[in-house]
Amino acid sequence: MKKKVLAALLCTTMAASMLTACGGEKKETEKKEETKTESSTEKKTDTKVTEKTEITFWHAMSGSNEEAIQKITDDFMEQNENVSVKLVNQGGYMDLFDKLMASAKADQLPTMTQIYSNRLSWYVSKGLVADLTPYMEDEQTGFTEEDLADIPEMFLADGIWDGKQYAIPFNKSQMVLYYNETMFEEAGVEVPKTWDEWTAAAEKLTVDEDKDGEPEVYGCVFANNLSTDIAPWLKQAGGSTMNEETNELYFDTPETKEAIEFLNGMFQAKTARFAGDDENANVPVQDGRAAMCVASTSALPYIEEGTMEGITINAAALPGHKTDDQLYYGTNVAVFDSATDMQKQAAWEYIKFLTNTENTAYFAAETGYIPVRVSAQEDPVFAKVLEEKPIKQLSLECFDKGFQGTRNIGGKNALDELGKQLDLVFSGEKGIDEALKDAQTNGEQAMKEAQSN
Amino acid sequence: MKRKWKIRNPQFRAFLYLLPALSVIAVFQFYPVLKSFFMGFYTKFDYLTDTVEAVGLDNFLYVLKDPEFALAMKNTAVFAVISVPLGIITALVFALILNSNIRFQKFFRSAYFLPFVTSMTAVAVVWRWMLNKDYGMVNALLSVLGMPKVAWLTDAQMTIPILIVLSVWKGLGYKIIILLAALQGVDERYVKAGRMDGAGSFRRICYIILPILRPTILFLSVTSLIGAFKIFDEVYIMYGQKPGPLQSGLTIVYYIFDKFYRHWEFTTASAAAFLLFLVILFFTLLQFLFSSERRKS
Repeated sequence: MKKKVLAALLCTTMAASMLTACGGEKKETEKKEETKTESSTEKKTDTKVTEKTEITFWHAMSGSNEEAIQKITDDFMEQNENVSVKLVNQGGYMDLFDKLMASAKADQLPTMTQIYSNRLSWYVSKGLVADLTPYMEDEQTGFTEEDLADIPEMFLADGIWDGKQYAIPFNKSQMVLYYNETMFEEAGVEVPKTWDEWTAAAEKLTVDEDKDGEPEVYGCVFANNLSTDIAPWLKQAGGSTMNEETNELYFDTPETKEAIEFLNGMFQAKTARFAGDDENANVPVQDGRAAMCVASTSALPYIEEGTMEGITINAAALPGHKTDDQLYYGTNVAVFDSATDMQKQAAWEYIKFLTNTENTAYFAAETGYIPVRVSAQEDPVFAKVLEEKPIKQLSLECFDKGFQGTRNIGGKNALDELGKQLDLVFSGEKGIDEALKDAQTNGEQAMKEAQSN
Repeated sequence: MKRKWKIRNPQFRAFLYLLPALSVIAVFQFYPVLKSFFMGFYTKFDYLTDTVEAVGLDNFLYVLKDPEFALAMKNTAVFAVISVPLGIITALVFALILNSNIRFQKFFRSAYFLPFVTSMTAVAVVWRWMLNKDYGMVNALLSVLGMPKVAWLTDAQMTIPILIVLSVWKGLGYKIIILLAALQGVDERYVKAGRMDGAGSFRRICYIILPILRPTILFLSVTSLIGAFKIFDEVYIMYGQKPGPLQSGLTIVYYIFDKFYRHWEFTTASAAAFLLFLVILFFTLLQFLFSSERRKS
């Protein structure tokens, strides 16, 4: 008897799950039919989407970032009744990129996605990404001259391959130096503007009261692995990580050595450390266990929320050396070529809306990201935020000193090899010369491997 | 008679019964294994269209020469060699205690089983918090005892020991249940006979109970060894998606994962995955050979 009941139960569960699976499929087809049959009667002036179109947007934004996107998207759909944008949160960036790779193989890429350019380059090389140039140049729905001049050059350039615009900047941030204002005032230290001043400040602000060799307060904290983030110091020393055209790596050069020697000096003197258990470099600054840290402006909401009472955190541009280059990073949005023409048009109009002055200002005001248009400063909402949070002004001021990371296919793999060697240097396990030599060899090998797929 | 036809050959009938399960295994297990084996030979191919331009042994040679694969192999082997016997011995001790008449037996049984049914992700997150250098419970306890802070998660020396302790603790409940079941099957008369012959409890365990438990222990060591070679989630979650400080927690599966997902070196990953398959196969065969030899003698 018992067995019979169990069998019946199993059968029903199975049947139920099959039903739901079928149900899902059915809905999908219904939707498709809907798209085909219904066409909108009213036509808006600035849209070319003439029939109901659904586009899918994969992103990795959560919390207040996601809420901000959702609001902008809802506004867009309200104005464009023909377009329905399906926002899909795929988890963190890594999850998003893993899923994109799998969906590329299965030929099931979404209409559009948020993506870093050093990842997108592979998709561009495989011809999977839609060229947005014609949409951008369209007289009716494209960008005007003012639009183009409004977006910082480096952000647009980050989405251009072979003269074609494949990606539009969306959420950008800057690598900055956060510091504890009170600690600086008490120690009578100026905010560092050069490498030398930085070293001196870190030394002065490090506190090891019980003299056990393990400071209670560190001068400066860095993110856990300096592989892809090493670029600003190489640039400031007059070098760079790699050549985007020739794929040549510059790991074993005097410039790289100078930069690594500078950073290593602070680590070995125990005036700087990695985030370690704290995971993010800003955490120890927030609770007074460090005076400075290098982190992204996107950490700002966390800093505002989680800083201990009595601690005031401010931010400055990274101290310079031979040059004053400042690193900007963050993702762009790209549209995949597998989308239908109507979807591409809809996606373009959505991207244009997402990054217009009003919305990029709103997004920047709500999150730690910076606006992708200069004109956002004049937007009343953002202007008010700028007044309240002067840190946000910093990124706008540094635009002309800014640069973005390289986008070589396999470049990330090469930088990871450099990162592994740097970890050995900073932990005192390996000499700089030997490490950089190995980084160069391993990096070249890693890049070659990556490009054979 | 309603039944019109019957398959006479019992072996064929058995095969038909097995067919549904076999086809699932064939599609989701055998096919991927073969596919990744073949993929290991592609030296130049298009991931998207599956067009292969060149084949060869380069990937296998690359993996075998790669110092990182050697490191992954070493880390995994050290982990497996220590954690498997340690896990079984600990479980055996607890099972023997639980098998004797102690108080709150049921409570302890479920208490030990809890870690096994808890998700690895949850466990790793809690451990990461416990082992935090500045805010962790373990260091708080140490400081009460007047000992200095230990950088559990950022010291490369600590990685493998932590992973071993974690895996022993996590697998304890399952092993205890299996061993307890086997202990129930030990005939009381053998133990009593041993007692009458004047054997102490230690000798009774060594010469009567353990030999009877041998098949169970073999089963546990095979399954735990395979599990140990596949260690991945512990590292991935506890060390924030990184292979531990200075690659100290780089295991074979992490190596494969890193090559495939992080670096898109699909063919290298396939070659490494097949090598892992060979390693596991080798150890499993070795254990079975060893046990059948003993049985014969």
